[in-house]
Amino acid sequence: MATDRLARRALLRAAAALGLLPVAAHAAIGRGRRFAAAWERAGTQQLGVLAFDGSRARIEAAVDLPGRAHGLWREPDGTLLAVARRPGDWLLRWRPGRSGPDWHWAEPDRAFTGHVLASADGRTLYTPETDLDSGRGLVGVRDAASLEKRGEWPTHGLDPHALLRDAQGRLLVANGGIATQAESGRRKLVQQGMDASLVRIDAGSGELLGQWRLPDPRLSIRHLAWNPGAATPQVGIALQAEHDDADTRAAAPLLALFDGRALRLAESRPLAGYGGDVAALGAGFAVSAPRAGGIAAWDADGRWLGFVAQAEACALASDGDAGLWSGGRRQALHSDGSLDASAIGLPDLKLDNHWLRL
Amino acid sequence: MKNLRVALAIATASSVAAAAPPKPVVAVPYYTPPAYAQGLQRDWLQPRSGEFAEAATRLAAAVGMLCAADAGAAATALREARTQWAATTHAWECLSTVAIGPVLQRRSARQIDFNPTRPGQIERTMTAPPPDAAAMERVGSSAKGLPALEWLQWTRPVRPGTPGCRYAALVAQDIAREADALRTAATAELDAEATLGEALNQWTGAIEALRWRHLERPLKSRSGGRDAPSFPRSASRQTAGSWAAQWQALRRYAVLPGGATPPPPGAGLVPFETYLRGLGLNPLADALKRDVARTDAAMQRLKPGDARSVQAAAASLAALKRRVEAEVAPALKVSIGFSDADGD
Repeated sequence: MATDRLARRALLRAAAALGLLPVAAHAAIGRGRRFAAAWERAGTQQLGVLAFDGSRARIEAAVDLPGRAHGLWREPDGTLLAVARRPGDWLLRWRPGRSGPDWHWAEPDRAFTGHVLASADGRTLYTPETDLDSGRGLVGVRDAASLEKRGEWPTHGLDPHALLRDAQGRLLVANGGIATQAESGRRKLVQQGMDASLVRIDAGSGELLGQWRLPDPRLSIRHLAWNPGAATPQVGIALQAEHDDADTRAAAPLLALFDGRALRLAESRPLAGYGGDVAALGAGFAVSAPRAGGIAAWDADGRWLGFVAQAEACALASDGDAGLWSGGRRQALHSDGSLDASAIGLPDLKLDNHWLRL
Repeated sequence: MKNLRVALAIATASSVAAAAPPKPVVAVPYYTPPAYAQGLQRDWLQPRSGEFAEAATRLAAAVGMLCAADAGAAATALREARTQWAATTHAWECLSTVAIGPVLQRRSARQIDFNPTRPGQIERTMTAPPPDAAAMERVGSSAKGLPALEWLQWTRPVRPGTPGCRYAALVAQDIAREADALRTAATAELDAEATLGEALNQWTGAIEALRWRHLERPLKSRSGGRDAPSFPRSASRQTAGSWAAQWQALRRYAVLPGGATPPPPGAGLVPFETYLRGLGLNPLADALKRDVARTDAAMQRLKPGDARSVQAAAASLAALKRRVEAEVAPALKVSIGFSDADGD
C-alpha cells in the first residue's frame, strides 16, 4: 500500500540519519521472527506469541487474561512472565504451547504496577509494587522458582513502573510519581502533586545508591531502555506528561537520557506528550508515540532525528546490532535496512505497550 | 437559569414493538455538573449514609446484647446480631460500592471493609481486646471491620461474656463510629465541577471490582481450579446478597428505575443514561440502557455455586464497562484514569 511505502521511506530516512542505511530489501525479513506480546482481540485480553512468516504474522499461541497485561519477561527456558497493568493483582507464568498459565497473586495490601525483571543470575525476580495503605512504591523481591516474595525494598517514590539492570548489575527503577489510592484505583491523584524520579538501588540489598529528578515534576518517568552501543553507554527514558493544560501536555518532551551521572531531557518535539515504549536504535533511542501516530528517533546526544508515521505505534523491540521492530495497528515495521517492500501485516488485534522478540 | 436552559432532549422509545402501547414522550432537562453533584448528594449520599449509620447503630446494640446474654438467650442474640450484620453490610454496600465523597476521602473501605480478613490477627487481638476506642484505632484494618465481624459471628462465633465477644462489640462500635462520621460528612457539599467525573471514574472502577475481585478472581484463584471458590461474604452466606447490593447501586447510577421520571436538575440522582438524554445523545443513552438490561439479566441468574453464571455475569459487566469507557465517558467529557483504552 502507498501508505506503507511512505511509512517505510520515512522510517528508512530516520534509519539513514542514524547511520542505518539500507543495504538490500528482501521479502523474508520477518521469516522466523517471533514476538511475545499482550493484546486485545475482539474484546478479549490475551497474552500470546506472534510468529512472522514473510510479509504476515499469525498468532502462534495465546492465552486469555482477566484484564490487560503490561510488562513481559522471558525466562531462559522460554517461559514467559506477564504482569497485570497497574494497579494489578496478578502475575502469571506461561510456557506457550504447553500447559495453561500459573497464576500468582499480589498480597492483599499490595498492587503490581506493571513490570517484572530477573536478576543477572536468574534466581530472583523484582516486581515493582505499591503499598496500598501508604501509596509508597516498593520493589518486591521474589524467588524466581516459586514467585514467593522474599522481601521488599522501598523505591523512595510513588508509582514505580519499569526496572532495568545497569552495566554493573544495579537496579534502575522508574518512579512514575503519580499518587493513587486503593479506594480510587482508577483516578490519578495528580492534583496532590507528583514526584517522579529515577532511582538506582543495590540489586542485592535494596540500598539507595542515587536518585534523580527532572525539572518538570509533571513528567512521569515510565519506561527504560539500555543502550550499550553509544560512546557513553546510557539509558533512554520514555516520558508521559500529566499536565493539566492540554497544550502543555501535547508539547511535552518524550525522552530523557541518563548517562549514569545526570538525567537530562532530549530535544523536544510536540508528540502528544505520551511515550509508550522506548528502545535502543543505533547509538540513540526510539520512543513510540501512539497518540501522535508514530515513532520518534533521537541520536546519542539527544538530538532530534525524525519521526516515522505508524498508526497506534507502541510496542518496540531492538533487533540485534542496529535494527528496530515496532508494532502498531495491524502492522509491524522494521528498520534495519533490509525492510520488505511492504510492512509486515499483523492480525486484527490491539497490541499493548510492549513486546519481546523471542 | 443554565440548568433549565434547554428541555429539548426527548426520551424516545427506540425499540417499541408495533403492538405495544406508545410510551409517553418525556422531556429530559439539561443537566450540568453542579446540578449532578447537588442531586447526588441530596438524593443518594445523604439518605444512604443515614441508612448505614442507623443500621450500624443497631448492629452495635445487637452485638452488645449478645455479649450480655445469658446462656439461654445466647442463640437468639447471635441470630439477631447476624441479622443486623447482614443489614448493615447491605446498607454499607449500597453506599460504598461507588466510593465517592466522604467514603473516598475518609478511606472508609480500608477502615471497615478490608478483605481478606486475617484470622490469626483477630485471634491475637481478641485474647486481649483494646481497652477503648482510641486503642481500637491502632488495630490493623485486617482484624476489624465488617469482614472481621463476619468471622467473629460465623466462622468462630463468639460466646457471651468472653474476651472474644468484648472484642466483637468493639469492632461493631468501631463500624458505628465510622458510619456516624460518614453521615455527618455527607452534609458537606460535593465539588460542583469534579463530582460527575469522579462518579463516572469510581463507577467504572466499581464495575471492574465487581467483575474481577468479587466474581472472576475467586474462580481463577481456586487451587488447582477444583476447590470451592472463596467468594467475599461466603461465611455468612451473603455472597449473592452482596453481589445484588453492589449491582443495585451500580444500576441506580446508570439508569432510571423503572417507571421513574427524570429528576429536575439538582433534585435527584441523575443516572448517566438520563444525563446523556439531557445532552440530546439518545442513541448512546439507548445503547447504555440495553447494556445495563443485559447485565441485569445476567446478574439475576447469578449463583455462587454456578461457575458459568459467574462467568456470564462477569462478561456482561466487562462489556458494560467497555461501553462506558469508550463512549459514555467521552460524551460526558470525562477522562477515565487507567481505562482499558489508556496507555501505561
